[in-house]
This record gives sequence, structure tokens and C-alpha cells, in this order.
Amino acid sequence: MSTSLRVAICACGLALAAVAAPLRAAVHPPKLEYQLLTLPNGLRVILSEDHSTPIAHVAVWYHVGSKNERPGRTGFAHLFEHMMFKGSQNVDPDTHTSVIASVGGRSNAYTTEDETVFWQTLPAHYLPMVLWLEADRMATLRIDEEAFKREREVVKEERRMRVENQPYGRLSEIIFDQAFTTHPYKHATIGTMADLEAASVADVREFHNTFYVPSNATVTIVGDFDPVVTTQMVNRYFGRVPKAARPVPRDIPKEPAQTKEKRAVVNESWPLPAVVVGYHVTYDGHPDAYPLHMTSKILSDGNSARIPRELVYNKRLALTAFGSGNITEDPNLFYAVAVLQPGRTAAEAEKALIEEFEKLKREPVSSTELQRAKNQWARDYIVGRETIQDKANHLAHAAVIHNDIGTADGEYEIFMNVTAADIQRVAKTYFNDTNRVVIHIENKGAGSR
Amino acid sequence: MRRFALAFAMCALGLSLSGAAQQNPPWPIERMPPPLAARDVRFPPYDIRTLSNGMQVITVLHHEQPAVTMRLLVRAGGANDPDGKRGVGLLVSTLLDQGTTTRTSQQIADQIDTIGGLLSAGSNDDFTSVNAVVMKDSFGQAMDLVADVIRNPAFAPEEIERQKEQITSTQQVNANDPDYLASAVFDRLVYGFHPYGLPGSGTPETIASITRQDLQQFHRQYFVPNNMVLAIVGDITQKEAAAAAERVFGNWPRGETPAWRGVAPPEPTRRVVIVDKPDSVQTEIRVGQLAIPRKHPDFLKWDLAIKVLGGEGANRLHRVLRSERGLTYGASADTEGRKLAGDIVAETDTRTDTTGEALRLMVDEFQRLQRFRVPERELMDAQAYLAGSFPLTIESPNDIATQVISHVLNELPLEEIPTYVQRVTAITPDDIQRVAQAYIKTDRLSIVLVGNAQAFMPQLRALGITTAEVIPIAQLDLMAATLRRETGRRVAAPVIGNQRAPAYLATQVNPGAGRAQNAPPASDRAAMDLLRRVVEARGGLTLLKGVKTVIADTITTFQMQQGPLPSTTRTYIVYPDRFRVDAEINGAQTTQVFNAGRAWLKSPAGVQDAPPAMAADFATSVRRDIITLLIDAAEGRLTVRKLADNTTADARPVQVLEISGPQLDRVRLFVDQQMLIVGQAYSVPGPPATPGQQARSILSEEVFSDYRLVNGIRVPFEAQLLQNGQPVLKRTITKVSFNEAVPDSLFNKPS
Repeated sequence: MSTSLRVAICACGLALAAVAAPLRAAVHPPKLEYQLLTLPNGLRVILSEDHSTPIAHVAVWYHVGSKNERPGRTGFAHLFEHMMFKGSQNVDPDTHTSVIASVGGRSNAYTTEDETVFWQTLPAHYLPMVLWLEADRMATLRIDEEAFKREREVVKEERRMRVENQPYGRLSEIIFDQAFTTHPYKHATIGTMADLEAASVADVREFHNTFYVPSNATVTIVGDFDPVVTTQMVNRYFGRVPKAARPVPRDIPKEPAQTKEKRAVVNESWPLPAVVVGYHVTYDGHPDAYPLHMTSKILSDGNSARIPRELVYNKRLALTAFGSGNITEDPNLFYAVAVLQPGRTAAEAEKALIEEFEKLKREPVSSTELQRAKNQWARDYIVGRETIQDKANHLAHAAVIHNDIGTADGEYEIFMNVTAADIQRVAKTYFNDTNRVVIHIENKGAGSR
Repeated sequence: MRRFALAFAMCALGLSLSGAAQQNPPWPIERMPPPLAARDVRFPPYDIRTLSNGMQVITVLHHEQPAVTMRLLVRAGGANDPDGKRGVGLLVSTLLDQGTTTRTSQQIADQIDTIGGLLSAGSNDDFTSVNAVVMKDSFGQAMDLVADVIRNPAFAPEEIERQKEQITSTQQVNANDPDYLASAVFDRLVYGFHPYGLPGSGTPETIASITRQDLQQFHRQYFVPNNMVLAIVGDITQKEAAAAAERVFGNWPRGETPAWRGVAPPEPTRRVVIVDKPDSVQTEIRVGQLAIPRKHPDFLKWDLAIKVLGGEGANRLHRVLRSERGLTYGASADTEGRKLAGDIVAETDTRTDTTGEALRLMVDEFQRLQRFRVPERELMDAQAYLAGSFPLTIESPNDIATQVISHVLNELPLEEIPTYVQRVTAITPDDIQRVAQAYIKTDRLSIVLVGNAQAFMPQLRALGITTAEVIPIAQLDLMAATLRRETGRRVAAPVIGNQRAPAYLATQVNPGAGRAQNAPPASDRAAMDLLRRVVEARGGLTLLKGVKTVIADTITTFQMQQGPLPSTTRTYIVYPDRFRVDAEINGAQTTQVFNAGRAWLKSPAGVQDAPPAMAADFATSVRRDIITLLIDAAEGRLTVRKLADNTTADARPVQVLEISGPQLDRVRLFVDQQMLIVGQAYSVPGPPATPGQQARSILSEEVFSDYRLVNGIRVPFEAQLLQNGQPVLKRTITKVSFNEAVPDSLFNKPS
């Protein structure tokens, strides 16, 4: 029932891949078993049974993130995420979390560029309660001026804590601000203080009506449940959430192609300076994305990977150095960072990082190196599906970002078939100087400790 | 990928609903649905056995994902660092996977990465660990690798240098991280110079002082199989796991590990320390105190009490600070129940202009928990969380292993694991009140704030906090008693051979100073306050009391009429009442021995009993020893008075303490602004001027300078003795150590 034709094909592909990858021959990751339902109001529901422990995980993915924010309202998707805990018709403010906790459950939420996710893991027999709670806030969020203002202060503290008050807290904000001109990936998910301050209760109402509608949501349930009973409950609680009055807007500005290298020098009072080298790359799900993911492994996974070995171990240029593709729903950035050891220069680090990208273009990776990357990727795949939350993440990501739940398992085969020529080809496609962003982040308080 | 059959079925189900949805009926007003029938939860099976060499091996089998995790834990970490070598445990752990006797660092990285595995090593104060995760087909290789890095680390000099560089650069980053600093300073306040109080990565100085031999010795002493626990978790059979453990560790012989010798953490004292970082936009706050170690019988109740204060399921701090006032993103409290000791720490961060308010609310919550009984309902919520979350804590095989390992390492009975839920639910509000009252000392909380001090100080003053110590971030020194970096060496005022007035003679004319009292008065409060600060600056009472022996080498120069006469000496002290001084003067060896009242002298001429006057002088000098003096005074066995403030000969202001007791004539201590003792003055009987005449007393003054930190205690490396204002000798310490073993035989009558 839950095994689609597509998954069956994947399994065959796996067997083939095993021949090509002798080191991994003995190990076959198990497939995820699931059902996908769509309710009449457009809500998608993924059910995946796992009876090993009497617990369940429920994640509600709204397909909205900081890339859906309009100018002057950066940070709003995340601020709104906080507002979802401020009560709904049948739920008092701030009780969602405490109710879940009072039965031993854990819950939280997070916002990325592309999605906003509300999740809870709890003893399985409380599943009716979670579904009821999530449906209540999807349909009838309370929007209160005082609560909004207070929560905005909380989010401003979150920004201060995560971004402003710790060394390197602004790193990604700087990188994306420099790399993008037009696409909203330019701004950080946390937003700016000014925009947070400018947000209003009217924005909250509008955002809820626009994006927090069943057709923009995917509910994933993984764990110890009876699928028939659970399907009935899903219909009962989520089925009554009204259908959206209008389609969810998807008018996100496109980033124009970069035509020449961008360079920037930024001052921050960080203890050690940093250098960033980045290249614009493609989107998640594009055929080039798979070799790019493999490239991340080759450059940066483990002490034997190229960037740490060269910059940290051999050259002792960097306290830490890494590089990987930030591959998201819309085209994003592949970037590498080196935090310099005292006494080393940004120019040295820049040269060393660029050399690693150039080398990928110049010569194909060795078969050993490619096999290593695949083994690492397979390990992530396997150990990344240990918990019910892990499994829900893979399923929901496939359904929401790829709009194809089959990729939750289907990508295994694609990754195992990436070749050295693929990696060299995508390197030549993307790692070019016209497509490059170089940022030196200097220490304006040099010498201070 | 849609499944048509299912989607179709759903449409059928949804038909009636979709009809209703079009009219958008009002959302029902209703109560939360009841739960379904609960399934029984039992702690999953695991196996624990001990190899013949004493290594404990835990296995948890799980066959869903084809992976195996290995976790090896050594019962040693930073708390076992040798004195003055903070960071040895950390360096040992970071070097484990950086080369063995048969594999280079790069070969290890290549091997683990090639099989797609993960290998990491690390340590905290109590434990060192090596973790590996591999696919099941690489299990054998991974066990070989884990055994190799644990058993045969090479500690290659170039790798030591690399790791030292990594650690010192990380220290540089940490030194600018308010979150890190707040926790590090808090630990110092709570644990003093107990290893839990010291930064695990040491300081640039301690890291620099560590040698390859230190690392090898640490490894040799503590890395023995009977001091380890190995957990093998995942897709494997019991037989395979046992065979592999036996294969790679079975031939490793047992060894003896040294007993832990260290100081206990100090009693809680109220102290407010502010690390000033003027560019901060937020203040990091820590509030808490010493509490109980993990294996204390009250731990579960205490942990539940603190869950009410700031943990999952209840969390008053979160409610008050975040939900009600929007002061912070997060506020919480934790019981840090560690192996040797434990603490309670509440933490939050808030913007500069709400620092005072947030701090007040946090302290209020400590008081509320300590003073008022927890309402039944609130306690039940916290209990329900802990009891209800039990199945969440056994989800993955690694979760299961973690619980078993934690019990084994903390020496808790394994039978406790399955009864956890019952034990939590049996706790009553009375229990909570009892532990809260027993362990929370609201008048002795340690408080740390890292942020823009100038901006929030007025808020603290408004709360009545007037005694905060403000330390600029650049001057913070986590190894210093005062938490402040030393700024250059202190130079004593008088100079040998110079005829200027002795340093502290001025104090002689101080009224009362020379006047005998009929009955010893009780120590006054100002005096005790000052004494406490002096003791703290010296290193703290606990640390001072922890000093059992001293071995010191000096160069001592006697000021003779013919000119300076240098000598080298080695002094052994075994507290409370034994010492020995071996000196070489002009090539001649002399020895003085004092052993609980008896005293001998040895010179090239022979061995003799010390004359009675000299023996009495030795006895007095033992009682006058600064460490003894401070301990006895702090613990009320001596009378402490504060005399009028004064100045030294070079015009530095000093405060003056006078200490006396039944067998101790008055001794005055001169204390500078850093609370360091810069002088000690007392009278000793002089020789009779002519036979039959009464001896005239001599005013002796010792002038101390060049304080340096030794194992957390401040030691003056320079001292001068003046008698009646005339320089008599000067001694310079060349080497000093505490608590090294000193043979008893040294205090016998020399032969």
C-alpha cells in the first residue's frame, strides 16, 4: 500500500549502486514507509508508522519563509512563527507548549528561508491533542496587540542573542547581504531591528490569511499510531479548517545573473578575522544539485576533506575552515569560510580557498575520494533517519520543497550514481570568477582581547 | 508523488466535509480531546558485562538502521589535570585521534572518512570520550581504530603544537564571547579553585607549560581498561560485540589509577562580578550557587525543584521573564549534578536597559522557591513532564545507552533506571520545600553579568547592589583569585642595604597597636570582613586549607656587616607543625628541623638539639606562618582586630589587621588595595644586652612582594626581613610546590 512504484524502482537502483560501490555493498538503508493524503481543503498529510517506541512526532510545515517577506518587513515570517504560540479560539496564550510539556512532550518551531515548521514529539496516545491544537491555531489564531508587542521584544532579544552579541553571529547575514542584490535570500531570516519594529498587528492578520492556509501546509505524522484512527482524527480536526479564499502568492523576485566578481571588506569586532569565498549555484532538486552536495563532502566533511586538511592542518592558516553548498528552494550560494589563525592574512586564505575550487575544475576527483564522499553521504542518510523527527523531516522536505515525496528515498540512487565527471562539470559551471563573491571580514578592534 | 488509490479514498471521506467547508461554519468552541489508551513503556533490554581486565562493556542492540555506534569513556578529565597544568586532560583528548604509534593523524582521518564513518574525541572535567559511528560492515575496522587511538596515542610533538595553537586561538575567541565568559566566571565563583571552577582549556600560560611528558603521564595513569566504559550500540549481535571488545581490548592489562586529590569547592558566598564589555547590546546573566553532586540521594527531588524554577514542564523563569514581560528570548535553570560536586545555575540574556529588572526577577524566583511551598498543580505539571517524557528518552539505541552510561559513570544503581517514573511521581510538595530550604542560599548567590557595565550599573544600585566587582573584559583572568590580570610585578619599598626608614615603622605609633588587652576581645566585624577578602585574594579558605605540604627552594641573602652573604635553601613544611630547612652557605650544609615542639640543628660540626629559646622561636614561627594564621583567624581560633589605616614608606595606602591568640603574640598584617598582604610585623624577644638583664624585644617586619599564582594560591616570591628597621635578609623563591609527598623521615633528628 505504501510502497509506490517509484520507490520500488529506487530499490532496484540501489542494488545497481551497490555493485558500483563495493565498500558499501553490505549495507542497504531501509526505505521509509508512508502514505500521502490530500484533504479537500488542500492540506497534505503524510503518515508514517514506526511502532518501535510508543511516541509520535507531528510536524506542520507551512510553505512560507523569509524569502516570502516583502521589503520593509524582513524577519516577519519568523516573528509570525512566535505569534502562533499566542493562543487561538480554544487555546489560551502560551499554553500550547505547556500543554504538550505537561504530558511529557517536547515542542518547538523554526523558520528558514523557505519554510516554517511547528513540531512536537510526545507519547503517542496524546496524538488527538496535538492534531486538535495545530488545527485550532491554523484556523483561529488570536491576534492581540499587547501580545504582539511583547513578542516582538522577545524576537529582538533573540536577534541580539544569536546575531549581535556573539562573535561571528553576523557571519551569514554579511555573506548573503553581499552575495545577493534582488532575491530575498539577501536578508537574514531573523530580519533587521528596524523592520521588526515596523511590523504591525495588521501584518500578522494578513500573513495568517495568506500563508497559514491548508493548501500551504503539510502535516507529517510519524510514530506509533493506528493509521485508520489517525486518518479519522486528521479529517475531524484539520478537515474543518476553511479552504483559502485565494491562492498562495509565489511572486518572489529573481536574482539576476552576476556578471563580474564581487568583492567586499567588512569590519566587525571579532576576535579573529575571516574570509569568505562564495559562488552562486542552482536550486535544490536541480540535477546539478547532487554533484554539488558531493562537492560539499569532498571539500569539507571530516578531517581528511580538502579544505580542513589544506587550510587547517597543512598550511595552519585557519582556526577553522569549511565550505559547502547552501542549496535551497531557489538558487543560492556555495560558500567557504576560513577563520584566520593569528598572524595569517586574508589574502593567503582567499588564495587557498579559491585554489580548492579551481582544483575541482582542473582535475577530476579520484575514485577513492568520490567513494569516500558517497560513503559519507550514505552514512548521513542512514544515521539521519534514526528518530521519528528525522524521518518526518526527510518526508516533509521532499513533499514541500521538492513537491515530490518520492525524493525522500529516491535521491539515494541519484547520489550513488554521481560521477567524477559530474563533479568536474558542475565545478566548471559554477565556480567561475565572474560568479564569485569574496568577502574579507576584518577586525576593527584589532589587538583587543 | 501522489498515490491515486489513497487520494481517491480520501476524497470519498472528505466529500461530506467539503460540502460543509464551503459554508465555513463557525469554528467550534470545545475542549481538548482526551488521550487514547496508553501503551505500556518499559526500559528496553541492554547488556552490561565486565572484561577480565575490568573494562565495562554495555551493548544495546537495534536493527532498524544498518549502523553501529561505539562510545568509549574514560573516568578522567580536566579534574585530573596536574596542579598548574590546566588543560592536560583536554589536550590529551584532542590528540587521541591525531596520530598513534602506527597511524599518522592523516592516516586516521583518511581511514575513518573513507569508510564513511565519524570519529571524535573530547573531554570534560570528569570524563574523556571517544565516539565512532560507522555502517555495520565497517564495525571491525572501527573497533580497531577506537582501540588504537585510546591505547596508543603518539603525542607527536608537531601535533601537540598544532593542538596547542588551536586551543589558544579558541581561547582568544572565547575571551570575546559573553555567553562563554558568563559561564566561566560563574563556575569560578561557585567552585573556586576546584577544577570545576577553572576553564577547561586552561589559559595561554598553562597550555604553554604543558609538555609531552605531562600528556604521556596523564595517559599512562588514567587510560587503563578498568577505568573505562565501552558502549556498543546498534545493528550488531551480542556475540559480535563481545568478541570485538575482547579482541581489541582483552589483552590490555589493568592498571592502578591515582586517587583524586583536590580541594573541595568553597562554601557559597555572595559575590557579584561584572565583566565590562562596553560594546555589548545585551547582558548575559548567571545566578546560582553550589549545590549537590549527581549521586547525592536528594538529587532527583532537587532536580524536580529546579525544573519548577526553570526547566521543562514548568519554568517560572521563562514565564516571568519571557512570556509576561518580553525581557528575553530564553530563561532557564539547571541542576548541574556532576561527579564530584554540583551547582544550580539560572541564566538569561536581556538588553542592557532591562538588566536590573531581569536580575531582580531571577533572584526573586530563587527566594520564592526557597520560601514558599510549591502549589500541588504546578508540581504535578513538572512531574508529568518528567514522567511523561520517559518514552521519549528511550527512542533511539543511543538514548538508551546514554542512560546506562550515565548511571555507570555516576556510580548510581542500574536498578534505578526502570523505576524512574515511579520515583518522580512519588515526590511531594513537602519534599520540594525541604530540598529548596536545605540547598538554596538566597543570601549567598553568585551573580555574574557580562555586558555594558556603565550603562546598567545604576540599575543595580537601584536594586541595592553596591558591592559588585567590575572587571574590564581585557583584564579578566580566570586563573587569578581576584579574576583580574596582574599588571606588572610589585616592588617592595625598602631595598637591601638602603638605610631609609623601614617600611611599616610608622604603624608602631598607632594607638592601641602596642597596648595589651586584658581579655581577648571578639573579632570585630570590619576586621572579619577585611580578613575574608584577604583570604579570598590569597586563594580562598578552601584552597588554603587544602595545602598540606610546601616544598620551596630559595636564594636567601643574609645582610651581614661584611656584606651580603648568599645561600640556597630548600624548605619543607608539613602542616600543622613540622618543617625542615636545608641550607648551603659558603659551601657548608646546615639543616634545621622542627617536629611538633622538638628541634635540631645540623652543621658540619655535628648534630645538636636546638637551644630552648631557638626551639620556642621555631614554634612561634610555625604559628605565625601566614597560611596557618589566615586559616586560624578565619575560623575564629584567633582574635582579629582592624587597626587604623596607614601608609607604607613609599606612600601606598594599607589597611592593618592585628591578629592574636592564646599562644600568639600580636601579629600585624598590612594589606594593600588588591587585598594582598604586603607586610607582617611582630615582636620577638631579643638577646639579653648583658647577662641577667631582661631581654628587649625586637620589632621584626617581613615585607612581601612579587605575588605569583601557584595552584590558585598567591605566593609572594620576594620577601625581606627587617629587624628594628635594619634589613637582615632577603629571600627569593626559585621554585615552590604544594601538596607534594614529603617523607616523614625528613623530620627525624638528623644523623
